Amino acid sequence: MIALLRHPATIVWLILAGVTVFSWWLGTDHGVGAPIEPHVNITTGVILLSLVKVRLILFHFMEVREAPWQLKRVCDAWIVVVGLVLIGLYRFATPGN
Amino acid sequence: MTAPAVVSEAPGKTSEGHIPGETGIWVFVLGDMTVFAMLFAGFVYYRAEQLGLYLESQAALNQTFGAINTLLLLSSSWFVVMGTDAARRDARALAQRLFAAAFLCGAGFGLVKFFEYREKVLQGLTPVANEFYSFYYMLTGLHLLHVLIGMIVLVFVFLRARTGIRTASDRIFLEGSATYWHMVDLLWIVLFPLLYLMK
Repeated sequence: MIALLRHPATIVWLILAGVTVFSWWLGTDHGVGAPIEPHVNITTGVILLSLVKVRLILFHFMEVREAPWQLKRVCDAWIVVVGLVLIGLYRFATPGN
Repeated sequence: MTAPAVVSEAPGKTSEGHIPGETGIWVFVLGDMTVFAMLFAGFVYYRAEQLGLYLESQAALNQTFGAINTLLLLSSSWFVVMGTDAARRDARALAQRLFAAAFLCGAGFGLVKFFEYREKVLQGLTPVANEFYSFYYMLTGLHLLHVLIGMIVLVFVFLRARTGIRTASDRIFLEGSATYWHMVDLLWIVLFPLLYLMK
């Protein structure tokens, strides 16, 4: 069991879990101010963090780190394009943001 | 000019890198990820047109269930990474236990979703309640379908782990299945903040 925990994937899991809990805390209403108000920078941060997690999963769980450079580039491109589109739509197409 | 050095005898592995599974699996995985990305973009776009409705509807979502589900899938991926590792080292019994644990995490996810959907339906928040809930059920439902398929795949991985990785076909099956399962985790990682946390 201890040997299993010493695997590099465990560190990755800890980071992923930590970021998840942090994002959840960030994104949860803390009861301060009107809960219906949008929080633009917090949400942008939460989306960015989710993409960091995606990259960790792709490169460390899905072994893209050891993959040919073409696959690495395609995966990074997906992350960048999805990030730009989602954050772009959120920040610029959403009224009041 | 010398030939490029081969790093290991595993098929497909050279100093230029190793494609987990085979190329076809990645065409499927990246394609599926792109389909979901377009659905996510659609969600954010339509949300912008009825922001008040979306914010109000989101307030009824159970963020704790969502966070628990995220941790369940992250853990299941860890189990699959460790199981794959064990299978490669020919530690078959261990590999089976790890894949079984991954399956149980998936089942846990499904169970939480059942309770969550039930809670919503009892509140009258069905797929036709409003546009936010149409997206919510469609996105999480499509994802849940992927989870259920992944769980079936894990059963086969569990069974195959007993005899071990002996051929290239065994390796491709193991790595391809693992890749698919991690994709299911990855999709939820993006889905969760968009639906549950985005304000």
